[in-house]
Amino acid sequence: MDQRRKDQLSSLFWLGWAVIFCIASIRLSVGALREPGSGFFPFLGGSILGLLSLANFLKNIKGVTTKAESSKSSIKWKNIIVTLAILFAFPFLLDLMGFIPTTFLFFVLLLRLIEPQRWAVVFGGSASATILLYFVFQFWLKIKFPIGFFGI
Amino acid sequence: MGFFDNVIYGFAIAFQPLNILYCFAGVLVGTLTGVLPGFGPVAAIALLLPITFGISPVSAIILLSGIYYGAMYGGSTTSILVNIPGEAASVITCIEGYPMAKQGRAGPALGISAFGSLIGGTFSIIGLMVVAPPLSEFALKFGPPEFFTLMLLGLTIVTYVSSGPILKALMMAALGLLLGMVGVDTISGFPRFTMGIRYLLDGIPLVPLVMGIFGISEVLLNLEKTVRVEVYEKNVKNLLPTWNDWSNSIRPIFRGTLIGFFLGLLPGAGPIIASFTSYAVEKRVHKHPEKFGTGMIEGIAGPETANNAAAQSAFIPLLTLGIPATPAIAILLGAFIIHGLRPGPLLISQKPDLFWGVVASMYLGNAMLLVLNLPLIGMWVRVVLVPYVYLFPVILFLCLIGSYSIENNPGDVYLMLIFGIVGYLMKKFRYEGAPLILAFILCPLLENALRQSLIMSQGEFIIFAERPICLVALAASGFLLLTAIFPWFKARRPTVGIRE
Repeated sequence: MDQRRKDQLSSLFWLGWAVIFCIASIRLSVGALREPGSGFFPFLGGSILGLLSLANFLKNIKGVTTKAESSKSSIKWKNIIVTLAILFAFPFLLDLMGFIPTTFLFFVLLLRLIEPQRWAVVFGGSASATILLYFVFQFWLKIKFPIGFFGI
Repeated sequence: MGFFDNVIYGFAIAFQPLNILYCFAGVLVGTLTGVLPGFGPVAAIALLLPITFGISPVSAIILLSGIYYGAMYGGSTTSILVNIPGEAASVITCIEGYPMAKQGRAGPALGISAFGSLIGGTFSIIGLMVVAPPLSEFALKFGPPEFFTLMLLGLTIVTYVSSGPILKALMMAALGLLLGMVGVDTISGFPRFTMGIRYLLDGIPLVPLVMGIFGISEVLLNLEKTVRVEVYEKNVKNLLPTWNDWSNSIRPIFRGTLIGFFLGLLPGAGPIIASFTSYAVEKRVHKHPEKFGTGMIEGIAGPETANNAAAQSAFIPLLTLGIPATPAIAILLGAFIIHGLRPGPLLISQKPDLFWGVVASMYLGNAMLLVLNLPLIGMWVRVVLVPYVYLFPVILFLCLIGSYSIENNPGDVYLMLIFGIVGYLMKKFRYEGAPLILAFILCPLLENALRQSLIMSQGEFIIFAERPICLVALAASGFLLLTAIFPWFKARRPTVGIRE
């Protein structure tokens, strides 16, 4: 997708949000200039975002097409999807298993699945990181983490 | 108390053992942040913010400020050695620094960069001590209209200097304002845009937003490709610049100090613009401007001095007016508020221990940074060489725990991840995060100032034209927007990628 097309699409996306914000602001009561209501400033913000998005969209209808920086094939989508999946699972697993097993698993998965490292590096690195981070956060900073089913 | 009594009082606070420790921790993390590409001071300050909740406000601000100005030192290391700027204010250092490293002169380049930073930073702190107290007294006369227009000017400057089209930067500023309005309206008490979610009643929390937009998104972007770092000179020697290097650098350092100090004062300008301006000035005044780009030490001395001078003077609008000059300073404003402090004209008189203690700690921090960045340069070279595959899990983990530990709420983590994806898409579609964050933080202050101004004037916008400071700030904002929009000016607009 070229940059012009990207700009058109993103402008429409923000325009949609601007409309939603404006409608919600009107429902909140915009008030008057003498006595601005709680929807006044959001309406102003929404209108500005809408106008700017529209201007950006119109500007890109007659723009010069520029090639996007990276082609589709050069992006490692697997890395991004796997990383996001691990990140989204983290709070859930932290609640379920507690700090130590979750942290260890977190490092094992990232070190093994993104740019696969040798198992010795994966386990050694994950164990050292877990021990170090446990001492930093639990003992030094005294942050309370959930106690999981292992009781740690 | 007189000026010198205050200075001595400040040093007495800064030299308390615990504050020395926090200052050292701050500048150490700051240097590390500067050295690591893709992890700027904004994310680092946001990350460490939750761990400061248990310490005194003075120590907390000493620590967080150290990260900010420490990053200015560290940023030059990667610019010179690997041609990758550690943070945005060191982008310009690549142009002369990397060619110098290729010629085997990385040592003097790093040396002059550290000495220039020390000189610029130190003079700027003196300026901060001299200028801030009278300015805050003067600012006591400001009313809501003045604050509103000054904040508007700050926001305009940030969007003006953002990379890419100004329309997109303005869109992000507008979006930041809208996100800042989520939660209970402080004046009417009505919830706004909360969609019935209780979690959002207090508004969108700052730390998950910043860490998502600046931390998570940057890691995702880096994971798209395999990052290979090549260091030209692994054993950096001869760090002390020669007499010839000094004679070539002393004038750029002097000019860089002045440029940095005055540009740092402008809300929105900050270290990035200062370093770019300094480079442009050095190139213009040099007898052989055509040699720039081939490894001219003047092109390092000036900008590196300027960015550090600006990093220190950027505290002046924050401490005297409560207006953050850069996104990183905006996070510091958030830190002040979380610690129950309200930066502004009354801060110096009401919290002299905080003002003088933090300012005095900056001297100490600058001296520590010189030691960290010269004799210990080998350590930072080793950090640069750590493969990204080992670094990114640690960065992600710190973001996760940083977000989680604010209130032990998984909701904060999910929110951070959502903003991480938004930030990643923003980068893919070339939208800047800096205007969004600054607008988000300024939003409550802007809204209150605007509402109070309109109530004062009974709904007449003319109030902004009747006050000289408002008029100047509005005229400056209007001028900047015009220069960015109209084609004749557009070609002359300096664009800088703000990736703090």
